[in-house]
Amino acid sequence: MVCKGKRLYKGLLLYREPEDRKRKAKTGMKSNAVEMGLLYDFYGDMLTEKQKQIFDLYHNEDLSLAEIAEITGITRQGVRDSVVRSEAALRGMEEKTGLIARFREMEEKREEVHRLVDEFAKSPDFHHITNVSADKIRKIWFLSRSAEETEG
Amino acid sequence: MVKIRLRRMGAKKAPFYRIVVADARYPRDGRFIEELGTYNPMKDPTEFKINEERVREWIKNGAQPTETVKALLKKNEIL
Repeated sequence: MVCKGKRLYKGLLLYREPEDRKRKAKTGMKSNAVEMGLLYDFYGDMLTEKQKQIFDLYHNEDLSLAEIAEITGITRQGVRDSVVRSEAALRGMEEKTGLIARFREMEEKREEVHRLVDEFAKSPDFHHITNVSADKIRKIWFLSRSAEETEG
Repeated sequence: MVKIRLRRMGAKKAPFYRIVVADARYPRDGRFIEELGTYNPMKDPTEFKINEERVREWIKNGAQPTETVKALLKKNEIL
């Protein structure tokens, strides 16, 4: 029994690591915290309330497993299991739907649009267009701002 | 134990972090002791601002940075 358990554990470890690395390389994620935060934003509602709470505390608030265990009243291992399971579920969602990859692509394009419009609005050419066109350009500029700028 | 950790601010799909010092015993959102800096992963290259002096001070006094914060500090050559 003991022997079997041990082997299984080792097998799991060996299996998990390269898998993780492969995924990271594929999606070109910047860092784990950010990647997990985004996964949570996009697919967090796929998790149960309890899983959501634990995942949020672990990745967004950066609490340790032990701290979360204390808050939720379950064991440290229980927290860890929940986090790992949630991560797998969210990664699975991204693998199937690719929303984050698409979102990034669109963000890059938006950024480019915004940059070009900004450039144009600051160029001398901008003074030679009609008011109607200028209004349209301004509108495009506003619409293409990043989420960060829109907030402020 | 006092920890140096990230706190996620910002909006959905636009993450933004603050680096804060917090007592590990205080569980949820609110309570932290001091804000040390910010981290914006959305900028390219990522933007990391931090009060180096205070970080050193806190670490000297026994504050533990979390893995994520440690990695950030290393990357920015503070630790």
